[in-house]
Amino acid sequence: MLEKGKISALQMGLILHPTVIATGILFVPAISGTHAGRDLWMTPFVACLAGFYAFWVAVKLHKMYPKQTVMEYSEAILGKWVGKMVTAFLLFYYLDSLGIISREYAEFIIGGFLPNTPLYVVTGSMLFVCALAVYGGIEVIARATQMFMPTIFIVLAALFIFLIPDLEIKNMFPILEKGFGPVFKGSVSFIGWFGEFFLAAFLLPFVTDHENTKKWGIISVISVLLAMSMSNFIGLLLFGESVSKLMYPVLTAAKFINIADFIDHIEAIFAMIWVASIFMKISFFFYAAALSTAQWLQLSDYKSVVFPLAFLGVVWSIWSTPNISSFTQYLGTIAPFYLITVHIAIPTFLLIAAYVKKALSKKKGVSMHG
Amino acid sequence: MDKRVRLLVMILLLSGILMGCWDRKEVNDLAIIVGAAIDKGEEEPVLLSILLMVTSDGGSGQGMGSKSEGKMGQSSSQSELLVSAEGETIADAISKLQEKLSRKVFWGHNRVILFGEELAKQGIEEHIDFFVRHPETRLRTFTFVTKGKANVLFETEPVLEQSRAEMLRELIELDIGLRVSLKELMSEFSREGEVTAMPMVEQSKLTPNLPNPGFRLDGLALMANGKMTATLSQEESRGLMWIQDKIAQAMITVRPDEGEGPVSMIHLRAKTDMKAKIENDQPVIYLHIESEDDVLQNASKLSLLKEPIVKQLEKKAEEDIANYIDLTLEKLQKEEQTDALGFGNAVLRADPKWWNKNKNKWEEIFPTVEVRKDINVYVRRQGMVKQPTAVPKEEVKEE
Repeated sequence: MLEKGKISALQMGLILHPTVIATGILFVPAISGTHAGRDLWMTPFVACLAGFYAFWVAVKLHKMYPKQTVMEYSEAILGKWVGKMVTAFLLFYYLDSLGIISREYAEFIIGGFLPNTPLYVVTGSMLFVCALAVYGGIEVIARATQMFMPTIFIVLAALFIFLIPDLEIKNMFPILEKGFGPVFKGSVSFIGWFGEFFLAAFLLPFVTDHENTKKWGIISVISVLLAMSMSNFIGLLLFGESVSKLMYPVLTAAKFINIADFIDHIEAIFAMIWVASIFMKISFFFYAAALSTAQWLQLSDYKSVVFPLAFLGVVWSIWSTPNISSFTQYLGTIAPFYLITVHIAIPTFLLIAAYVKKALSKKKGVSMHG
Repeated sequence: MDKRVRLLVMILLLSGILMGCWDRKEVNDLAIIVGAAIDKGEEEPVLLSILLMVTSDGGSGQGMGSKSEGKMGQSSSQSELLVSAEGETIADAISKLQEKLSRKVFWGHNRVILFGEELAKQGIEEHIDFFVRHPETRLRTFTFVTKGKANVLFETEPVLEQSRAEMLRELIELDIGLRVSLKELMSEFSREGEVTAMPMVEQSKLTPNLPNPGFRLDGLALMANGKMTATLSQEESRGLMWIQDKIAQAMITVRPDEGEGPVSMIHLRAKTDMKAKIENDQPVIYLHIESEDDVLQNASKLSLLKEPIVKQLEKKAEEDIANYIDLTLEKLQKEEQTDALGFGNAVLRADPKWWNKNKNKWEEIFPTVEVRKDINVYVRRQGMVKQPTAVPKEEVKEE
């Protein structure tokens, strides 16, 4: 075991929330609105099924291999060579998403607030801080999350409440004008997001109170669903269908807040809170990447790869995309399939293989183990 | 020892991150824009005039002679500075403006955007893009169309408020005219065939005999596909505001059948509910209006304590609202034949199938749409007196 930390099921649920939603909350309505138009608020409800499913798969696999992460049991299930190939792909994904998420963070910060700051400074400073958290181990990440999450929930709720005077319910109607087709189309990209609940596979081995994992996993999926819906409703009820034209609808909405000419210009607070939640998202992906690297290379300690990976993350964030338009295209075309492969297809395949293996070994097992 | 060195290195590294050097902006390096006026330029397409807040310490208004740069020069007030430049686009004009300014322009506090009439007729869509795209601007910036040149309005002296831009913003927030912010323009321009109304503002004298110009809201400009096509008078825009549920408070004066004089009332709470229905394959708009009124002045000889008299007043007020609405409908359905009332949207919400079948013909259908009004006015309170004040008791009429 490379990680000796222990976390509670509550902490697991809390970590998973920003891991899934942190980047999404900003532009969820813009993406779902592109396909689903006025019905964009329905899309997370469809996609959240993927979240329950991915979490269920992670729990099932965990039950069969209680002390192992996905990197380890993949090899146990599929054998050394096939296992190594699958885990190499997973490892690539974790490194890739580390770079991409850092880039998403940097695009937002540079585009919205610090236009003159070089990209590598923005990603570098963030990854450095995250590296410190990852170096501290899963317990540090868990505690940081536990500290930040209440503030994040409060600020997001406040954002919604402050906007209520400007929301127009009529923007929602007519509902389902073009049927369910566009809604399903719009939810495909969210299936990728909700699939990230499979990352629970990196947390489950360290959870102490296993009787509560299911409860907190479900609560976590629902909380992500709520956050996404809130983001969607703010976008739709405030801007109507033109929400899909905006880059960061929720930021624009935060800028729109004006309560009695007194509460005004509060987007900086919103951005601050968002940076805290993206910090947790990057930290956890970083943690998954570091742990995977160490397990894939069979190192005795993952801490030695943390800082080198931070450098790789900075460079990867520059490599990942040349500009925002190709990035948007990537998010709309390749990303859903890529994410669904990693979070839904591979885990399902692993689970089926594990069942088959178990069934086979039961037949032989009688003679083997006596 | 080793630990201490490590700690020191860590602290040094972290302090490097905290500074945020690249985007450091001090307030005394910023030229804070509070209002922008966009006109058609003489040589280039856009003439941009920006109203800057003067933030220097000499705010007492003494010795500011050094500020007389810029095309318009220093405006007569000391707290603001008007600067303008021409350019191909707004962004281009900004870069030319910047050549004249020692501080970097900052859009974060921009309150109002004025479009000159001439420019509005050419179309303002392309200019909206700049304001929606720029990271510093915000969508709660109120937009106006001015009668004549837009920058002229910024040359007047501010009264009551510190700033001319603030005057305009406070004026529109009183809900006397239609409030239109960048957010509305963005979403309404994007719907095809939708006609948007924008408030018009003009220069107006505050008193007839003194040379102190101010602003006055005067009707609405109708923008079809981002281009100004027609205007509505103040009365016609009142009707539009009734239909669109934009009336917050409004005064009316009605003349009862008897009693030899008018009664003025104020609509304190007004609510319009617009619903569309398809009847016999024809759209019908139902307007359900409710308003609660207080009496402000009773210049008649009627006793307002009598139920039938109040009922009569309510009826008169209902007719008054209906008149405003008819006036607007007449103008928009018969004369202009453009749907600036959101009827198309109401029909879409009521019956998407019918709408999709007929939306291409909407321009022909709109003038024939029937509007059924159901108006209820309730006169609730009558102020601090019970009887007409200056009328002898015997002359007060009680029927």
